[in-house]
Amino acid sequence: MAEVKRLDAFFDPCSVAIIGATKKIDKAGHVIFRNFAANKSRGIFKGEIYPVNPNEESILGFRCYPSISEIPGEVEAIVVVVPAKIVPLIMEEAAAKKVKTAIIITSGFREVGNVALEEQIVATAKKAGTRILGPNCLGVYYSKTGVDTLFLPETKVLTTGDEVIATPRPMSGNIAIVTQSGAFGVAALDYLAGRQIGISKFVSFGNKCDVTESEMMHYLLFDKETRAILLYVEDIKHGREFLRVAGKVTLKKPIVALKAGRSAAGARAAASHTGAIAGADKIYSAAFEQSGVIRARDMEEFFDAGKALAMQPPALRRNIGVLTDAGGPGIMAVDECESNGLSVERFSDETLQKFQKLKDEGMLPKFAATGNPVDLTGSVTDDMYEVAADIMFQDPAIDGIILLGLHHLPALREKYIDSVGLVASRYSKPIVMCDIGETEMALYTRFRFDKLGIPSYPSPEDAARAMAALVNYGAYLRKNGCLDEYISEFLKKRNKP
Amino acid sequence: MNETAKIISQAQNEGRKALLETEAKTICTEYSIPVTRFKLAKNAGEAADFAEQLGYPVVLKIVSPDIIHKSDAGGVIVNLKNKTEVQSACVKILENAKKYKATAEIAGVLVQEMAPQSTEVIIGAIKDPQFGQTLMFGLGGVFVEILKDVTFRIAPITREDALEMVTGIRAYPLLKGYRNTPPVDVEAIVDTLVNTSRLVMDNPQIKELDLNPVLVYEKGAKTVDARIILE
Repeated sequence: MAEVKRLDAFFDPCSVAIIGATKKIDKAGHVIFRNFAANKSRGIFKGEIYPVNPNEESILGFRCYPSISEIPGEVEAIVVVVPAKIVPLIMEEAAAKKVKTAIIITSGFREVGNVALEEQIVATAKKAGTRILGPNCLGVYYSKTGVDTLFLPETKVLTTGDEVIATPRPMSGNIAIVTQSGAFGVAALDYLAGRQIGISKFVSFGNKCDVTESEMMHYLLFDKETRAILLYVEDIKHGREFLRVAGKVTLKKPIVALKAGRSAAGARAAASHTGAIAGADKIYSAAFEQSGVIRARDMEEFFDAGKALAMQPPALRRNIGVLTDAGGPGIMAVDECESNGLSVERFSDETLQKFQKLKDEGMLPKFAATGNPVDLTGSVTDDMYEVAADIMFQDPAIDGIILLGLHHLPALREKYIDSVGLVASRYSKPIVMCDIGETEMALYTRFRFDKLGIPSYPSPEDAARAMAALVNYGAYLRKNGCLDEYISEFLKKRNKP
Repeated sequence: MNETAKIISQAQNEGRKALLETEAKTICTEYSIPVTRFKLAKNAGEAADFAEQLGYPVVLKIVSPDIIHKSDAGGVIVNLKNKTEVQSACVKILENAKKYKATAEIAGVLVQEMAPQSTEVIIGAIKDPQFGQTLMFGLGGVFVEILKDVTFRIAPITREDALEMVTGIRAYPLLKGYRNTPPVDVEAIVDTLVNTSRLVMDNPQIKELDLNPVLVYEKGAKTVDARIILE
């Protein structure tokens, strides 16, 4: 636990020195220092900040120090943005200053063959007990404490003079991003910010010379804000350690992994059949499956599954109810459910009778299909969604609901969103939704559902795959005997404001 | 005592990476992995005697540390039904081996019971650089070689994991029986997977292992060929 605590300084340091801070505005050392300075002036970052650069007197009104050793008082964390060959010296100074954590942004180490240089800094840090994130990484973004080591400016100025958002920092939320690739990591931030999905912590670990993805996942297991972990990796260094840690974390928090390099069939001398067939990728898939990590096939699924798992409880079993106001997209959702191993079975007689009663009372259209999928037809109104969803949730054979709320129909407005949200909050079963379209009403509808914690998707297939992630995670938890406990913990957190 | 450790250290001392089939099968037996009954003959006369003891038909295979691909060297003759056939096959195999590689060291000729035809599966293990000992399961022949219809699990595995490996291949319905083919003994496959897991976990020097094919019957299974490669 002490080791877990030690990593806190990456995310919430009392004092931080930016080694290589500069006045030159296009430089990484400037952007990073400016992030800290801005967050300090806004009162978000509450610690001390020290720019370190022997060639500057002051930066953005902060006194600049020629070296770490000359900073008065304690320095808990450093961010290193100086050329690779100077980094060993910096790490010596950091060791003398008893720095707890170092984020080394600098590249030019193992990734270009400078293995000895990297081993040198690791050795220095190990002796002093300094923990390293990186090198060759983007470091950390944590909105709550204002730690932002991303050297990518939040906005860019176009030639027209207009300032546009370029690298947004998403709002605070429940999804943690742990990424080997910095570039993909910030692309993820942009994507999530655009879809208004909040993140708990962002960690880019680069060469992982010290802190690995496994240790970071273990840290996030104890992080109160993190409900789901999105992990992007290209390789895993200590496979057995990964299996052990991931297996422990996934009993409490879902991990969705995007593992690039699928086609590279590891170069093996194949003296056996097994050797010839076993591509590294298949072994990764097996490792993920065994440790309960959900492997996303592509970027889209990566975010979609992460969002679903952060917002909704896992499903008990795999039978899904589909509720729609549009026949075609309903069938598309059913098709995708079946290709992902979910079933969409006809409702029980009891449920069918309840629907029949509503039809007889004129609450649902006479021609509405109610066998599963439920098709509310073009006569759909806001009220119909509420009553139909409630009946489906009540059916013990239904483990989750895919709601398709195509907004085009004349009598459908937005009132149903809140009422469906209210109905869903009374049950412990998952629900995901889809509205198709990229103009105002579609964006508005999806945004509103997301705000209510019902993950929304722009296609029926995306929604079905998101539900599949909830079903598969549920199956894993059930197999390990902790599904009920997970769901009750999840509901406790969900019902807290 | 521990036959497996002895075989492995002997091979290492002799600088051999590929174990002989007889050695691999002896190891399998020690780990309760069922293999076809066999004996190692030094000459045609011995081969015939062993065949009489094992019962016909039998298979003869060359055993040499210098010949890994036995079929390519003309070192495998199957379906031998009597003493005369065995004697002449043994002579032929020894001749073929000489022709294939004059300097090849010959340990002898394996006389093996010929297991009746049935569904063929492959069980394998490989030491992955990241994850260590990893097991593979698939149906034999085209299913493995062309369709790559296989499942993997990182060792060690439980019976539950093993069952998931078996049910996880696309061709699993074939094992459950179809048309006039009866279902095979899935429990026997599970046993073999779990025992193979134990074998490779106990012996980290093993880099690759093939049980190919393993014939699976309505009751029981039998490994026809076993190959073990050391690091």
